[in-house]
This record gives sequence, C-alpha cells and structure tokens, in this order.
Amino acid sequence: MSDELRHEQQFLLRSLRDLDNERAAGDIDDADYAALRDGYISRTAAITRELEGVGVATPAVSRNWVRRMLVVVCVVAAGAGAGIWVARQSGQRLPGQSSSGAIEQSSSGILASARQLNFSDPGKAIELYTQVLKLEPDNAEALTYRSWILALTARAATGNVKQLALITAVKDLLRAQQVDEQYPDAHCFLGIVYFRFLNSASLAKPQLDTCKAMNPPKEVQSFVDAIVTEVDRALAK
Amino acid sequence: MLGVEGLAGPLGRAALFVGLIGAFFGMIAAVTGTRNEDEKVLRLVPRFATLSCVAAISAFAAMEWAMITRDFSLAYVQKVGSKSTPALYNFTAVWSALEGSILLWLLILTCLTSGIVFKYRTRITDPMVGWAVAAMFFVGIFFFILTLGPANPFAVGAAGVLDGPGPNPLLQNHILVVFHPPILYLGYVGMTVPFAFAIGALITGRVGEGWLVETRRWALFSWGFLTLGIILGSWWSYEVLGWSGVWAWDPVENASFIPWLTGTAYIHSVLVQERRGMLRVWNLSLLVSTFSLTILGTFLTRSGVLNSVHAFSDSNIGPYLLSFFAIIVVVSVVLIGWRGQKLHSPGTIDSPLSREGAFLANNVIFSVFAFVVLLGTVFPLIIEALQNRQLVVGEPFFDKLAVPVGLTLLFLMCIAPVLPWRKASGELLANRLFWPAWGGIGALALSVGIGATGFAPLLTFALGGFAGGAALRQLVLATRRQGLRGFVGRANGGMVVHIGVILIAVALAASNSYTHSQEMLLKQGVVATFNGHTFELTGFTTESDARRTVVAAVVRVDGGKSYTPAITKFKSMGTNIGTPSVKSSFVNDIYLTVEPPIKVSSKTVKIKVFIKPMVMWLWIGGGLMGVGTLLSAFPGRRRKPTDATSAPVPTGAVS
Repeated sequence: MSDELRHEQQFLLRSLRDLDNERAAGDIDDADYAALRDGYISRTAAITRELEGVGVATPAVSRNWVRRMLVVVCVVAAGAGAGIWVARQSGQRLPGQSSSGAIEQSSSGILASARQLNFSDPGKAIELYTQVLKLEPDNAEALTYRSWILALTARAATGNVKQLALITAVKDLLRAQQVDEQYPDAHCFLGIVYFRFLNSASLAKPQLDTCKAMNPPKEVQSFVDAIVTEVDRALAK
Repeated sequence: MLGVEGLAGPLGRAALFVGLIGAFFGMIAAVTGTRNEDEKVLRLVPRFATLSCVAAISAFAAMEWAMITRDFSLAYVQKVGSKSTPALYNFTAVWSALEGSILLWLLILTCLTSGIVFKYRTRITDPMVGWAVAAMFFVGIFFFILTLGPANPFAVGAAGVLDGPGPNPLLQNHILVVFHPPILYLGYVGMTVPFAFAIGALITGRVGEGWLVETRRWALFSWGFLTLGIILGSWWSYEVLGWSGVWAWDPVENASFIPWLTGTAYIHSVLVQERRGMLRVWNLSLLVSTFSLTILGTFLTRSGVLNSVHAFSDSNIGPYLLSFFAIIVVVSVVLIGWRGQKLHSPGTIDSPLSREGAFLANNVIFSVFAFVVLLGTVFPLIIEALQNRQLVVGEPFFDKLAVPVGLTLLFLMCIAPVLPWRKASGELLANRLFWPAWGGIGALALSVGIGATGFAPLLTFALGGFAGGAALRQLVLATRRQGLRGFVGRANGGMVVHIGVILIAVALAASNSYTHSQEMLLKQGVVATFNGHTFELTGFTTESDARRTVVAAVVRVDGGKSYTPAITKFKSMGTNIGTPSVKSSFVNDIYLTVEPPIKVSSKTVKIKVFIKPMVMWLWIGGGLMGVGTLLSAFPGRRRKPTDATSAPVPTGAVS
C-alpha cells in the first residue's frame, strides 16, 4: 500500500513540475494553472500525511460505485442495442454470397447467383433476374430465364393468374429472341412453353427446330430432346 | 526410392519437429530460469530461439523448394502447385492456401522471437523480458503444433499425381499477391511482441509505464505493417476483382480491420499512459484485444466457417484456433484481474477539453466501431451455428456505421493536435484553431466551387481541410523549430500519418459519392461517349498458353491511349477471371471491365465503365501513412516525454 502511495506521490510531484513547464510553454493559462496546481498540491499533501502516519489521505480516485454501475449498464445497453440493430440489418444469404458485406455484383454476377436458385428458390431467382433487367432491360438471359421460371411456376396456378403468367412469359421470350438473335435458350424454352403449357405443337415446332440448329447448352438440350418426338407425333395426327 | 525430388517433405517435417522442440525448451528455459533467477538456464534461451527460427526458415525453404521443383508427392503441392504456373506465382503459391499461410505465419513469428531475444540478450535475466519471451515461445509452440497437425504443409499426397491446378486464379493475376499477404502477416504477427510484454508486465507486476517504452516501437511497426497490408489489399481488390471498389466489408477484410481499429486506439491511448499514468487497464485490454482479434481473424479466414473471396477451404483447424483464442482471453483477463490493485492509475482527467480527453474520446469511438464491426461480422456465423439459418449483414449496415464514425474521427483530428495536456482554455483553442478552421472553410468553398454536392461528402471535405490544417500547423511549428527534424518523432510523424488518413477519407468520400458507371455495347470502329469521355473498340487481342487464355478488348479512351480490359480463362479450373484496365490520373480513374462472353467474331463487346474521382489519392494517402509511421519511429532530437506540447526542443538533446 505504501509503495502505491509513494508512487502516486511521485507522480503528483512530477505532474506539478510538468504543469510549470506547460505554463511556461503557453499551453495552460494562469487561471487553469492555479486551479490544477491547487488540486495537485492538496492531493500530494494528503498522501504525504498518510505516508507519515499523520492522517488518512483521501483516495486519489474515489471509487464511485454508482458511476461504475452506470457505466456497466450503459455498456450493456449499447451492446444490446448494437445486437438488435445488427439483427435488423441482416438478411437472407444467397449462394455464393459472403456472410458480411458484399462485393457489388455485375449483371453477370447476379445472373450466376440467380441461375443457382432456378429450382431451389424460384421466387428469389425471379427477383434476381428482375434486378438484372433493371440494370440491363435488354439482357436476353435474364428475360429468358425469368420467363421460363414464371411459366414453370404458373403450372400450379389456375384461371386468370395462370394465363397472365404464361402470356408474360411468352412475351418476354419473344423479346429475348428479338434482342439476341443468336441466343438459343429463348427458342428452346418458348418451344417448350408453347407445347407443354399452351398445347400448340405447330407453334412449338419452329422454335424447337431453331433451338436445335443453334446448338444449345447441354442442360437445355436435354429438355428439348425430351419433347421433340412428342411434338412430331402431335403434328402427324 | 527417395530421390532429391521427394526430400522436401521429410526435411520439412523434420525441421518443424525440431522447431517445436526448440520452442518448447525455449519456453521451459525462460520460465524456469526466470522463476529460479538462474542466469545459466536463461543463457540457453537465445540458443533455443535461434534453433526454432532456423528450423522454421528451413521448413519454409523446403516448402518453396517443393513448389519450385513441383514435388507432387506432397498433398499441398498437389493442391496449389502446377507445372504451368509461372515462377513468380509458383513462389507465392506457398502462402496461397491454408497450410502454407500458417507456415509463413510461423516463419515470421519465430524470426520475431529470435529478434526479441537478440535485442534483449543483455537483459535476459530481467523477469519481464523472461516472461515476455516465454509468452512468445508459447505462441510459437501453438503454431508449430498447427503445422505438424491440422495444417501440415508437408503431408504426403495421393500417389501418381503428376500435375495440379495451381493456386486460386485470383492469386495468380496480379503482382500484389507477392506483397499483400506477407506485409499483412508482419502486422498480425508483430502484435505478438507488445502482447507478450504486456503479459510479462502483468506476471511481474511491473505494470507502470516501463513496459510500454520497451514495446512502443514494436507496436508502431506492427500497426504500420497492418495498415500497409490493408491498403495493399484494397489496391489488390481494386485492380483484380473488377467491381471497381476498394472495400466491401467482406468478413476477411473485417478480420484485418478490427485489430487495426483496436491497434489504432492503443497507439493513441498509450501516449496518455506514458504522459499521465492513466488508462493502464485499458491499454492492456487493447493489446490483449488486438492480439486475440488477430487469432480470431485467422480463425475466420482459415477455418472454412465463412464464404469470402479470401477464405481458404474447409479445414479442421477451427477448434484449435478457437481454443487458443479462448486461452489467450481467459489468461489475460485473469492476469489483469489479479493485478487489479496495481493497475490503479495515479492520474485523472482534469478536463474533457484536453489532449487526454480527446484521446479518450478517440478510443471510445475506435472501440465501439471495432465492436460493432465484429458483431456484424460474426453475427451471421453465430446465428448459423445456433439456428442453422444463413444470414448476411450487408454493406449498407457497415456504411451507415462508418460514415458518422469517420466524420467524428475527422473532427477529433481537427482539434486533438492543438490541444494541450490537462486543460485547454477557450482562448487558446480559438488561437490555435484559427488557421486550421480557415483550411476547412477553404476546402468547403473549393468543393462547392467545383460542383461537389451532398451533405456527407461536403462535410468530409470541410473537416478534411480543417484536420489537414491542424496537422500542417503542427508540422510547420515543428520544422520552424527543428528544421527537417521537425518531421520525425511520434508527434510529427503522427501528423504525417494524419494527413495520409485525411487524404484517404476525402478520396473515399469523393469516389463513393461521385462515381458514374455505365454498361455499353461497343461496336468496333464506332465511338461511344459517356460522362464526357469517348470509348472506341479498336480490336481484340488473344493470348493463350498451357495455363490460360486471355481475350482482351482494345478500347481507345478519349482518342488517346488504348486500354485492354480482359477475360482470362484458367484452363485447369475452367474459371473465368475478369481483369479490369484502369486509366489513372490525379483527378479521376477511368475503370474498364468487359462482360463475358467476349465474341471476337461479332466485333462487339459489352464493357462497363466506371468514372471514379480521386482514387489515386487513396494510394497516396496510404503511402503517406507508411512514411509517417516510419518517421514516428525515429525519435530524432526529441523532447522529454513530459515536456509540454509546445515546448521548444533543447539544442543538443540526444535521442
């Protein structure tokens, strides 16, 4: 204990010396100098008295427990508040996305994420394709795949909703063909939609022929191969 | 038969084992020698430090040798090596995945331990040095165990493998891969030194200001390397990833940023302890936090718990790192609690309007910022662990936080450099802030004059001018008194760092607020215009080798030089990597990327153009921060630590 008091005494004496230097350098004005000096001297005197066994010094820093409790409460409240804020700011993570922040994705990046969700989360995929179309209204891939998923989803619907969804899908697939004449997927899916969902083999046939002539990707080719024979058979009837 | 080709594995494993033994006996010697005050035993410590350091160097060299000679008998070389990888990227492939990066960490750590033991060789009998060295050995043992166990770079691979995929394509696409990881690691690992001395101080009970003086420069250098590492990482992101950004609040970026925040708080608050004897517990806590956060960051980066552009693949290293993190935190907290009485500060804050008051405010802001960034980073991981839900805390959250925090810190940078210790009067402040304030007004007027808009960016420019004025004032006063020596020393070098930070803040505000971008379909020979600039596709170039095929669009910008944004297909992985091309100037960058696929025969290409103002000032600011850190480390003809803020420097004083 006396070591600590001695240490504090030395510290206060050094502070008094520093204070003089600071005043001389113009850092402290006269009024502040006097107030600070008085404070240091009274603390030094109290400690000196205690060291000499004359009296009990006032602790250098009063242990204000109320203040400490307040600090703890404030820290806990701030932590809890921050936690709630973070929770509110969080959202569903998409495949390929990191758990915090995000590198701003280009259209191709968003398309890649959307393609991964085509079958697992069609609603989210449609949302992402729509996001791409906001950036690039003429993106053939987004137009095609959004239409395709919309048509697939519409199968479960009935009445006007189904019809409206299919009309939108066909319209967007035709638009995709218009904006990119070399893009086979739009022809392939339009052919499937015409045949499977609108029961028109005659409309489907030219689309599917164009699709096959354009050498579509393997996964799309497999969809087409599955119905070409059925279309030919329907036309032959 | 074991040919030369297969030697790297056994040699590396043997070296790691020897290193572990060296570190273990080094720690035992340091602990027993210090406890028993046995100088003879303590004299063995430098030998063990050298042994473990030489062993780590040998292991690293063996790994490099294996990579250079394409020794596919090792699983690690099978994972990141390739016959087609160029020599430079083959060299850096060593730290391109988990096991090699831990080996690099170990190399730096053992060299630092050796350096510390060498520096304090004449004071090895000092108990604080003894315990500090023991703590460093302890950390070394942990990393040796990692490299011999779950992250063994010398594990034998499957038989018959004759080639590998090479490193991640993103890590063989830019020269910065040579510098960014090692420099960042120097920062991370360097934080072990002040942490070890803090532990030494706590164990010996010498928790006054002496240990701070011992570690001041180590902490500063580690912080400087961490800063440079982060800035180089941003540069790499900008130059390689093709999204034109420098910071995405990706978990791994955050993992380096959080210890940087606590480290920055420490290098400010340590001044308060040295000068006023306050914040002892706080400074110890900051050091422990900084070091433990580097371990937590390593866990986040390398355990496979998260998905990020940097994250390495799944591994079983996670429980080891988490356990080590827990040990560090628990031991440190227990030691701080044990020494609670001795950590009582003799000084108090006389007035909030003082330098120590400003430092305290700065520390509160840095710590709150670090806490909230940490929370945002680990929150999705905690939820995933508890509820199996995959969440993301997006960039807007961090941006919402960063803007007010950044502005408040800029404000503090305006006034803190002119504040005296203890107490400032209004008159003194008005006098000292006069010219800096005019700097702020001038910056605001200039910004409005050249058409800048928006509250946050304009406030940033104004505060930037103000804070720049305050930093320049300090430098002008110092150089008037001391000539060129006025640039060195902590206070003056610190002001150079402040100017670097201000440049970065202003550049970030400008580039984030005034970037214009547009996707364009360019047809060969047809000039397109965007934001006052012209773009003309003049052709394509194609380069192909065994490793990759690069197809680049040649785009003439503003009728002058041509730029070549490209798509590189890495054949072994089938991965397409976009490579941006940037026209840089002091005013703005014109950043070009191409959108795949490139159809050369169509003579058209879809490009994305970003016009980004002031980006170059980010790198200049980063460079200034590095220079400022170096200047801060030179004491020059310094004042006594207790001299007044404005005290003249005595002639003939020796550093």
